[in-house]
Amino acid sequence: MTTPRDLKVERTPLPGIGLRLEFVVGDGRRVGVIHRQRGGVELFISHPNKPDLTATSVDLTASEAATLTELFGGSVFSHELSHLREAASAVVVDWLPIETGSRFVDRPLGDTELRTRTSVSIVAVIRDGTAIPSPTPMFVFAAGDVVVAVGTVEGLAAATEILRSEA
Amino acid sequence: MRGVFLLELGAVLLSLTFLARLAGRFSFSPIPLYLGLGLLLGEHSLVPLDVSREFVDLGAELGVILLLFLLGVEYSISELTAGARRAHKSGTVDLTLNFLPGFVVGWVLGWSFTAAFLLGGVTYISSSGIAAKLMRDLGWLGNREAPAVLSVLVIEDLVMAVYLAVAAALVLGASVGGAAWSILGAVVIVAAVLAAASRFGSHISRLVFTQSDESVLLGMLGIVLTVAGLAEQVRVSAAVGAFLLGLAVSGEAAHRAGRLLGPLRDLFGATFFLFFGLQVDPAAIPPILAPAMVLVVVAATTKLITGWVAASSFGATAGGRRRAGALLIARGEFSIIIAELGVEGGLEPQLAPLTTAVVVGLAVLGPVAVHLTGVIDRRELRGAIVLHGGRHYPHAFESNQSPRAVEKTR
Repeated sequence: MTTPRDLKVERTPLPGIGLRLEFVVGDGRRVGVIHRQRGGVELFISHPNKPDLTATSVDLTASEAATLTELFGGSVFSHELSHLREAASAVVVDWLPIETGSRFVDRPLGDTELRTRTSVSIVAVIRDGTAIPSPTPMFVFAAGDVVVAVGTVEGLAAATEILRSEA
Repeated sequence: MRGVFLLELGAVLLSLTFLARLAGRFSFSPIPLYLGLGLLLGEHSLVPLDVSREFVDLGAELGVILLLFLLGVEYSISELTAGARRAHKSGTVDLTLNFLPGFVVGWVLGWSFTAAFLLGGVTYISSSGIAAKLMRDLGWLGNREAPAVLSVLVIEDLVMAVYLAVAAALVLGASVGGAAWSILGAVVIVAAVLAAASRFGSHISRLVFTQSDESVLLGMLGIVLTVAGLAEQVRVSAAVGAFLLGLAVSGEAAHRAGRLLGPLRDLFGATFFLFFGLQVDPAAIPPILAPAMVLVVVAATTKLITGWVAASSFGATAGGRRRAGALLIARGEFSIIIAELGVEGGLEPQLAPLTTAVVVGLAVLGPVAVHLTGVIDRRELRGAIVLHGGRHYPHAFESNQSPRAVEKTR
């Protein structure tokens, strides 16, 4: 994501809790989010007169946070879209099947080491018609799964070869 | 006989539940209440409990191991090293200012070096459990001082890994030379495990975590106890072993470990605090009340100073520095773990009662001080709002009414 040059987003690790991202808005208040290690996001806004102190905060689940992002996206998206399209032209989404003979059947996603080897990211796995978003490295493949991956054309070609390789 | 045992155990657990709820209601730590219940039910008290001693003993030991293991799980190695680098100055201030009160009081009371060293540890370490819970409950994680407080807590936990190893060696070691060797060994082992954990952590995590909840729970507990036992065998203290293992577990595995072992930690942790209270003779409390009160006052002040220093290095203003200090005042779980080392070693009969009194005092005073800073904040804000009110958000008041107005026109 791009931010205008004059907005400085401050990143603060909160050990044992997560990561805090914040910036100062026009009236001097700090607005930010805390991404928790245990999942979920906390949105906070500081006091106008006491920027050190949180005035209000709200806990959001992952899907609530995604919804909020979408609500914001409405105004920003059209604006940014032209830039994005240009930047994204080199990036492709592809659907890669895990076939019965593949050596990754019954093995965890982490074993494929796709990101290290091809810079391709797995964004979801489709199993029995339902999508499983953001699978973890511990996710175990089954025959017939379809991997939704994002990467360069070359990277995706290499990833297809890796996922096809037999035991 | 069996029925009586179950009845007693049930009654104890119900009392603990009641105390936990009571503490939760006022967002206070239940630890002083658990200790108090232990005092009430000890051998020397009016209503002695005869639940099998071995049972409670074993539960308490599991409690310590799980407390330390899950503490390690909360952190990753990179967080620890980054935290230590960012706040080593306030960490040093913290160690010096807060170790000395306990150590000096132990020395003045004529205790042995080891016993005084343990009391120093008791006053040094803040309760990260109490501080983190207060920050979450009050919604203070977005505050400027939050990273300062958390960094100090991280450094304390890191120091404690070394400290516990040293203390265990001192308690066990007969000669000064022998103790020095075990200390050196402990430090080397701590360093080696930390290095190994940062390199192979993800492998360990993946190895254990592809199974059902049940097998993960049993496997995890098995590994924790094995490592803790091994550490105890080489005289590094089971607690340190468990903590280091916790550091090695990261990512998804850490998530699962927390979810599955958390309830066990709560059960056996409560048992541990109860057990510690059981060992203390209530009649031993009055004689140590004077030094305990001195320690409570001094150790609260030194933490206020620590918080002030730590928060200013993170650019917080007076309000933030005040809050940081207040958050650090509470001592709790780890102070008790340190004192238990001395009790096991049969070191100093006054150590357990003095620690109990100090921890109860500070675990209550800490949250009270935190709520007080909240009151001061609100008072200051009210003054500020009268001055600037309305000017800052003229539209906020309008927008309160406009939705209704819009609906009406529809």
